Amino acid sequence: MSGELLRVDDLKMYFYTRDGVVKAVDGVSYTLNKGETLGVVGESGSGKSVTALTMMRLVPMPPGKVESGDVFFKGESILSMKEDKIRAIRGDRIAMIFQDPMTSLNPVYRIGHQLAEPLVIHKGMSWKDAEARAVELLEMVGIPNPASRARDYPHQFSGGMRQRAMIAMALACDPDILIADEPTTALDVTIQAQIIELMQELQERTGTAIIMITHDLGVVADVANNVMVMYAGRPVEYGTTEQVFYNPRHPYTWGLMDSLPRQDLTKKGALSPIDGQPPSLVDVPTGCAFHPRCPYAKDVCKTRNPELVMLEKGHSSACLFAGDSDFVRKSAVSTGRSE
Amino acid sequence: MAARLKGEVVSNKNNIDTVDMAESHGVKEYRSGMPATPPSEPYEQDAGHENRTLWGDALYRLRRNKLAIIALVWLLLVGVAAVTADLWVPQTFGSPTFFDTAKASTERFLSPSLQHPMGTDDFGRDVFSRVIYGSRVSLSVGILAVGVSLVIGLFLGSISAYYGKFLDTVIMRIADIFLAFPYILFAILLLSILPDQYRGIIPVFLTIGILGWPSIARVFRSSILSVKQNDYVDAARALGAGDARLMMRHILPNAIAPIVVYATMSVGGAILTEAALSFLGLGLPPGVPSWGAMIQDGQEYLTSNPGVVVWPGLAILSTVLAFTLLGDGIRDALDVKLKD
Amino acid sequence: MSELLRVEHLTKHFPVEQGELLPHVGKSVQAVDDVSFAVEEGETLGLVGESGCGKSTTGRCIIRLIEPTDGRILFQGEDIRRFKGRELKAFRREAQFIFQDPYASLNPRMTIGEIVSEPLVIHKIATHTERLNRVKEYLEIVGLNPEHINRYPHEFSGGQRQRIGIARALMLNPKLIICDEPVSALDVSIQAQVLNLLGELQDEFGLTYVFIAHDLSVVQHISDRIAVMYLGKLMELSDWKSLYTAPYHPYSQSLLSAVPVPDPVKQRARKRIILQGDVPSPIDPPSGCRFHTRCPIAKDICSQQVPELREVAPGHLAACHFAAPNPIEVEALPDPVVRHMV
Repeated sequence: MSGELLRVDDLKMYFYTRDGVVKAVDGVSYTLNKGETLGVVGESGSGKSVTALTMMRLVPMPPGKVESGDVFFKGESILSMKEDKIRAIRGDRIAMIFQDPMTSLNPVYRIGHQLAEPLVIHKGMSWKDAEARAVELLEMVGIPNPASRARDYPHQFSGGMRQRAMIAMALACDPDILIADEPTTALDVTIQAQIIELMQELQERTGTAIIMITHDLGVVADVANNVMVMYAGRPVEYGTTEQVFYNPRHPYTWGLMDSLPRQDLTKKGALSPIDGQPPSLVDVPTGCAFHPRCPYAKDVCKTRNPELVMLEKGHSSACLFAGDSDFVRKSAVSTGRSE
Repeated sequence: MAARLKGEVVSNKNNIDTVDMAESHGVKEYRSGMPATPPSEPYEQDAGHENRTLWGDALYRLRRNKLAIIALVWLLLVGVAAVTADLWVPQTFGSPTFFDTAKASTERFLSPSLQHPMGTDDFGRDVFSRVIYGSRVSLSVGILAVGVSLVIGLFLGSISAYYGKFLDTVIMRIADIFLAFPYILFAILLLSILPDQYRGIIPVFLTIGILGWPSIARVFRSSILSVKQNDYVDAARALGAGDARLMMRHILPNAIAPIVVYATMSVGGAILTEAALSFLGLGLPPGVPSWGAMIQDGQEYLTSNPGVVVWPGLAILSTVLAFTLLGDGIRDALDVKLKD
Repeated sequence: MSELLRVEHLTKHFPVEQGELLPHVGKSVQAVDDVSFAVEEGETLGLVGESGCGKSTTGRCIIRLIEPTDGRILFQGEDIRRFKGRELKAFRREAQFIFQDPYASLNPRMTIGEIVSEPLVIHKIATHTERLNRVKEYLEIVGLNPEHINRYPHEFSGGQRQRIGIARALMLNPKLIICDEPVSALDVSIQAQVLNLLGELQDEFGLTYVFIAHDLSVVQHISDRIAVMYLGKLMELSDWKSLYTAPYHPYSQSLLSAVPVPDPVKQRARKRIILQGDVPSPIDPPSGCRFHTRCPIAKDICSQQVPELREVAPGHLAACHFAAPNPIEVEALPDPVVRHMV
């Protein structure tokens, strides 16, 4: 019986800057259960990373400010927690790994030390015990000669190994949730495959729920149970991976799928890109944020900001016309399964 | 197909191959996501758009930095006062140098008043007047010294970065040797062997300037090396640009920014050095008012009439601080290079 | 269709700095090693590989942004390595380069008008007014507003900056354009725009592309033929379809297997080949076949003898002792859970 670990409830977080109000997170809602993987997809400026940082309360406030909404971890509100309580959770119950393995590890401390740190802080282990456990963790993530490599410094590790070390560090305390922010973007594709497989293996073994933040739809198709597509700080579509990939119901999702060059297609034609560019979050278009680029936009789209509306069980879309059965996708590319 | 662009050769002096693009394409909507406007609708004019150069952006940011603006205003005030001093200072407050031996005893060490805002010194001379005239010395030495450092440093730094290898090594090691010497002692050495008749502003700023070139050369060299790595330099080379063009058009304009900051702040340092040298009696000839010399002259009266020391001291402090803050402000303004 | 470019035994070694005063002695980074291929006029050759494979270096050697250590580069039959001075400058009009980083490839202190007109200025073509007109024309062709000619690069987005770079590359009417990861730094939706643009321009102006990228889907989309590189060596060269349906080299097969397909059912049903270990250092590459340390089907001969790039099927070259269609039997691989790095 999977329990609800995380519930995000209409979260809105804005940055108040000299240049204006940056609506970085503008109404995000979703739930995450034990053992599940949620894929958060979006391009740069979609707010996918900032949402995760807000959830971990890693965003400096000011200039950030939570406008409304909340995040519940195992039923408790994270945003109302006291500082020491959230610090106890970070690293222990909810862990995060970042995109750039070069800069997420501290260059002046040995790898073994950095892995041991969360154990000492959260589990109260002695340094000796923690460093021994760190060596075990390094082995678990597939680093050869873990005992001697634990004494290395980050610069002696390759990119892929550093990411593995980060994963080991994140999983050291056996967290309930692992947030992975573009964990493979900076890596070569063969290394990416290794890391993805490692994360899946570890998830099978430990039952950790994963939030996979990425712009790569292929990665999402591979690992995610549920998908949330974000645009301009708002979720535009949410559903199971099958629903979103095989029956997408938002023009932005259609646009994203259609603009992908696909290596599995045997016929080549021009791609169907989305016109224009993603908006700056300081200057989000009125109404539906996507309307200036949307080939299906009507007048009403300029004034009404659509909410996520449930279409079928577990599948919702933030397009005013998503529910209309005659609202069809005018594209040449089909991503349906070959029957 | 390949001959498409090399269509009719339009008769013009340079014989470029040209084809009227609109005619060959007709009205076309490019599926590259940015639809081309059909000829009937003109593009939005860019006339009202202010040019936002990198320097323009920096100036804008600088203007919003209050400390830097205060510093700048202060320096402008001091500068204007220094330049125009002859017109209003001696008339209102008294000569900075001349003193009347007869009146000396009665005029000495007067307290600050409207007539003498900073009081008078042991010879009865108006301190304010001396401070203003002293600013001439300080500002000119400061700026000229940095000027000398720039001339030497920019030149050596750029050939060092450009030619690299052996020449680079030689120049940089010489720079290291200069930097290894205690700065002040070296200045003292140079100036103390100078015969009296040659004393004046020139040896002072030359000395300070010659000692300052290594830092500028190093900063400039590393700036050039880092700019050289940018793709746009390679792009220009790929287009066929020669070395001269690469240097003048691409590398130097982009490498100069850190120098602006460094030079501004160095002026403050040069002023301090000049003050120290004058204090030691090595700077300008005696009699010429200089802040450092004033402190030297007044030090024996530090407890009895501190004004004669404090006022020139404050002058040094405020001016050097102003240059430093201004330099800081320029650095911050130039730092945020790209808006995204 | 004639052959526009032929690269023969191209080699580039970068010396690893040992000391300043003494001439460098010792190791070098073997970035590109004995690479040969040809490109027909009008076609697109994709050059694909992971970091450290030498594809970027190869691209830069072709237009002599970097000087090769060895080998011949024949452009329209002439060895461009011999060119000097005026000949070299003339060559530059024929072969151009598009850079990866939209932020670093444009001089921040020049207006885009100056940037795009620079090629004409350098080669002393046209009067000032003619240049201006031509710049506006080309800005429009690449999808930008020609009225923005006096704006600075930092006022444009990444995708727009790439377009500026493309306009700049087109100004001299080159025959060949080397595209070095032109879309890697762009968002997915912008990537598609720029890829389409490149395709249209190729049709419109009869361009020949050498398209360098690490993203296989992108390369497959735009290329006629594809060359796969690993650690400085060419592993496989064939037309795009053959490569994707039946690669002959185990590295190509692994590479294709590693790219996730945005189709959940398909992707999860795929049998995947996960390579062990990291890419070795190009300073000290493995002996024999450079891929043997990570190759699932490596045998003794692989560490002893360098495999030659030979024709394994019509128009299809591969450098492997055991080249065969889809040489790695995925079923025969050990269970993923037990797989460790060696």
